[in-house]
Amino acid sequence: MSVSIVGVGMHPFGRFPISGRQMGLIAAREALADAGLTWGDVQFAAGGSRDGGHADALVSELGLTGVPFVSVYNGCATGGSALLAATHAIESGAADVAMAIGFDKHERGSFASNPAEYGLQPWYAEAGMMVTTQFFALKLQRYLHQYDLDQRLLAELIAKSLRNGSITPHAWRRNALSVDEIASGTMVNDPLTKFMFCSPSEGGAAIVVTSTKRAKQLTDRSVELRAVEFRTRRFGTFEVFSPWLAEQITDGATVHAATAAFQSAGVGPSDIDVAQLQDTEAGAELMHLAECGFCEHGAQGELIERGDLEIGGALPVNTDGGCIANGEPIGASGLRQVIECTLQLQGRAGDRQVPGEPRTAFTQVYGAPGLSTCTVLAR
Amino acid sequence: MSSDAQVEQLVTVVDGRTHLVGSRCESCPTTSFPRQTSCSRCGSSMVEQTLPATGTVWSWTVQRIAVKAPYAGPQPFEPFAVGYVDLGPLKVETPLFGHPVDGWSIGEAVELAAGDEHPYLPFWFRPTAGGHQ
Repeated sequence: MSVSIVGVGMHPFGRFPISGRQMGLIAAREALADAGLTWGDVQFAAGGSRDGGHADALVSELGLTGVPFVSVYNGCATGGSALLAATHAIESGAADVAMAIGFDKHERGSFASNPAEYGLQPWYAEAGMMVTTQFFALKLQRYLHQYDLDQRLLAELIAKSLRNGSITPHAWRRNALSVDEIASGTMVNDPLTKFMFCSPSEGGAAIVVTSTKRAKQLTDRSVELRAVEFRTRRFGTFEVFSPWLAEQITDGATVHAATAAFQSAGVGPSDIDVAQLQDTEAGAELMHLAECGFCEHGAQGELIERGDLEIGGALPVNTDGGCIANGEPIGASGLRQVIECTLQLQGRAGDRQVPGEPRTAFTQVYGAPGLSTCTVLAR
Repeated sequence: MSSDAQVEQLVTVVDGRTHLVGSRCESCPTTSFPRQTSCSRCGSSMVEQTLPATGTVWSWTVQRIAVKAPYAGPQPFEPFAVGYVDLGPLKVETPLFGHPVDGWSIGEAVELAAGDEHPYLPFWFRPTAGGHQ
């Protein structure tokens, strides 16, 4: 059964004096209002949060209607998993109106990780290797070497994200920086400077989906979810907190999720008018461009130098500034991407609107330890 | 600080030379580190396998920002290099010592080391005596 988005809602991303749950509630109510529906219409809900509280406990404020509400957690891909569950509920016929909700409120600074939760012994953390930013740098350093890419591309991608963030009302970081300022920032893990990472932040996001048939009755601006595909890693991928890697490095979960999403949707990368890609740091966007099929590995420089990824370019990417400008409230982040594409397809993206009435959009979220959800949306 | 028993599981000395101790799958060509009982690729049982003591730098970076507890290295924090070393059947993640922290190159020959020089580390790699392979 075809599934469409009929309502979206967001609490801005950043730092705020209210709880994560409150941000989730604000987003949920905004999404319902956008859809012209009430909580009582919702027949299935799925939501997730890492540090903001139990998603399913939102029912005590939204209304105790008895609705089945599944709490999900899949690291940075939590929002994608919530949307997948809501979509499946519609596709199966179990519900005619479903909601995906995500919210979070993280401490400042990088996420602390406990070795035992990853099946690792204490020596790994005691030796100083249980550090996520190290992993990003190690994967990127190898990638730049393998495909002979100039590390200046990293600063150019960040400059683009911050430019887009500067014109996005819900974004956290609203100040653009020059390529030189970004490249000469304090080095954190070579080749990544302090400006090249996203930070944990706070925010909320919610999406209401229905069958496409019901959507057409509700609104004339619904957006069809042509594909939502979720994949976990296979043997041989390069993931965070890996004391060892296989002899042959294989394609990550993103490649398989993106391929499946394009196949389900019956379109290819060249049909996409606007995309949101996981950009936990500069290297993630660089690598995901190729992993999703938007260019060959090593050909990213051409896209960047031609301005293809800019709003107004051939393939605008991370039009709201991505995780770099919005930070990452883990539960909400994947839904933010889908909301941004929805607004772009509906022509509601304000100053950052992609010109030319975009009709087809793509999102990709990637989380530890090696999972990805990709979507294709169409007007 | 890790227990001695835990460190013992990671390294062994054969003919006076220190090696990492990993495991080898009995059914498919997979070698892992540290030891594990079942294979990540096929789920079959694995047996202990001594790993090569030399390899090449496959990737590297520098940890320039202080690492949170339970990091057990020098206080105040001193930046250090970390990388993956290609040992042939697998790559292992390891601290790197013996050059300035940003003085490493991919493809450079390195060898396993362990001992009192860095008492908080069960092992690390350093440039091979005699330079590139």
